[in-house]
Amino acid sequence: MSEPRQPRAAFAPWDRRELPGIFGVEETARRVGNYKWIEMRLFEALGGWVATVPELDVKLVLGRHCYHHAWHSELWDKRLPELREMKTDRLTLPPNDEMIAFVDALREPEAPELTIEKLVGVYRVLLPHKIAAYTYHQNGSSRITDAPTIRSFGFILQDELEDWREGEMLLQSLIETPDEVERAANRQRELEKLIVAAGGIAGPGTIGGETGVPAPEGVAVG
Amino acid sequence: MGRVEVTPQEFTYVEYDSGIIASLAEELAGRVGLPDDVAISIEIDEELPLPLTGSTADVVDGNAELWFSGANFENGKYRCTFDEPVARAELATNLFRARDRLQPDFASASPDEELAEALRGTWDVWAEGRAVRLGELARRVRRQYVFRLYNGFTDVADAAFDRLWSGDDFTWAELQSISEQCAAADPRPASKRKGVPRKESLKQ
Amino acid sequence: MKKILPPEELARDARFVRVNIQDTIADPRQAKVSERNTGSAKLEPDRPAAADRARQLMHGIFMGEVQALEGAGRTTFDFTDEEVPFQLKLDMARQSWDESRHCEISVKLAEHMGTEIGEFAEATFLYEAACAPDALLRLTGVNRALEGLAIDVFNTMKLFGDHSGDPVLAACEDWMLADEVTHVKMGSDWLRRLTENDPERRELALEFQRTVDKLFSLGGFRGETDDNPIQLARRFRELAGFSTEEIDELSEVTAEAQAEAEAAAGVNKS
Repeated sequence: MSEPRQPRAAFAPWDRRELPGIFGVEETARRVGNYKWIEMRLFEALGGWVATVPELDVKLVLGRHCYHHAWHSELWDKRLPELREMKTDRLTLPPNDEMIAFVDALREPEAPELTIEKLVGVYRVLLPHKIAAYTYHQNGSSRITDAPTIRSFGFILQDELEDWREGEMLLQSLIETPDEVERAANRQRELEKLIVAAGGIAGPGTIGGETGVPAPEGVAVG
Repeated sequence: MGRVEVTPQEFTYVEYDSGIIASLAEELAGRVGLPDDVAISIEIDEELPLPLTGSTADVVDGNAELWFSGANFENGKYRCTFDEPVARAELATNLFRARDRLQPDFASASPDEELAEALRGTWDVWAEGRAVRLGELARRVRRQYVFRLYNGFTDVADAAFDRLWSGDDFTWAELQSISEQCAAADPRPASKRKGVPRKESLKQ
Repeated sequence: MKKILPPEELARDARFVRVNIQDTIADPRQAKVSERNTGSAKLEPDRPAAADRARQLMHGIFMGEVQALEGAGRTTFDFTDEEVPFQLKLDMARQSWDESRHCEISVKLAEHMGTEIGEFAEATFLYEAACAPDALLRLTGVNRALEGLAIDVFNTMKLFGDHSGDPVLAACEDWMLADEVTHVKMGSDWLRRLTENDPERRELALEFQRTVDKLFSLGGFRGETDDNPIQLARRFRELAGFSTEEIDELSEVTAEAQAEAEAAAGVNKS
């Protein structure tokens, strides 16, 4: 029988969480604001496209995914005040003008024969970048100090990965000819250049490198 | 002049051609096996649009008397226009039932307007299944839905449907028996079952 | 992609054919049917042509859900962050998902009843309510009028499923009905919040709703008499935030719509 008064360590032997993460409160809030902004622009685009795609299965999937990204934006909106930004609109911003250019290009296709172009933008360009950005942020954060953000990443990444797979399968079912392969590749190339110019969904340093991000706060405590 | 007479000769509200309908009926009567000496009269109520479908197939004085709502031949996509595959299936199904009525073991079958919905539904499945085997338009699930509506949403009814749809020979007594088996398995209260003729009719 | 997508630009595959609802209402055969004494027009299993009436209504529900999905989706896109509150956009995105599921349910139910997608023509009058350039009017037209009609239709269809002993139909319609009550309540709540200090604007929105409600009554398709296939679902409308007075007023609107349609068609019911 265990002895209730026997002192135990604060962390179980298998709990390997560490302090701190690579982002401080302000940088996390800035990124979360960028995340909310891109999730909003994405769910608006998906909602708007529903009426413009003739393929019934695509139409219904877009309606479902529209809500997924709206919910992500809501999670980020709720996180912002917890990161000391009470006026959430202040940080609900694109990281730079290049990101605005990317979103404008992403949302530009309208005609019913452009379903491939619409889906490539979302599922072959934006979602992979979002998944990379969220994974980087999740992996770089302390699971102690920033557990709430990490918990949101868990929910969001599950959606993102499933939606990415579903969108990719829709694309593979639509791309049947060499000409359609070209269309998809051209569209991906065009948008990839724009998002690279923006530095990713949170700007330069979205997944590390030349970030301009402040040095980690404190030293690692393992 | 052939043995098929279509009323009206000229349609006012719908774009149907009585000559085409008569020739389809003439062709299908032969394939269904309606004896050559049986005259066929077809009355179409063109005032009834989709979805107000309905039909009867009776034999009076040895002649086949068919009545159809105009909706039975109407194209659902294009209002007031004739849907030939659907019309062929409707004609074949009802010609089969007229032929059945000429058999001695169907002598006790009531006129269509006096038939209970459940029994009529049972007979329709058998007739439409035969029409499909002639190569006419298959609307199996639609027919099964009608059958379930009047004979119950049960495994017994579904098994009965399969037998009727693929069967070639039934007597009137067998059709009655099948309908009774379905009724016995139907969990709906007796008042909700369709063992009696409905009060109102589209046929005027 | 432009803001405000007109109904004629709704994208469809080759199975779908479009009609003008006014042409259908003005079909002289409708007047002939109205003059006949064939008993109650309510959708009940013991009524003539019950199966095909239910099948066609199911297809109509499917088309309505597609347009409701498109309308909710467009509302997430058509308005800027400055024009509508963030939470309203989130509600519309949620509604998009709900309507998408309703489309899926309707396709399955149509298959269950032996109806093919595109078997019947499509009228786009429901989506037209989602084209209002003013967000408040659009919300009132879609969430109070269109979704209100959905409540009436789903309740009718659920009862048809109950009465015919069809467990699949009854259960699925009940689930959709729950969502629609939520959507109408959403509309009622936003109408109140967006016009809290602006009674004039609120009256303008309600007037728009009355106009749309009359259109959606389809000349007697919906109402509270034996002549109406679709019955007003009072209990569910109350759950969705309609007052008794509002439902009474709607009932009058449906009667007016029927009278006007009959007069236009020269129906003689004597």
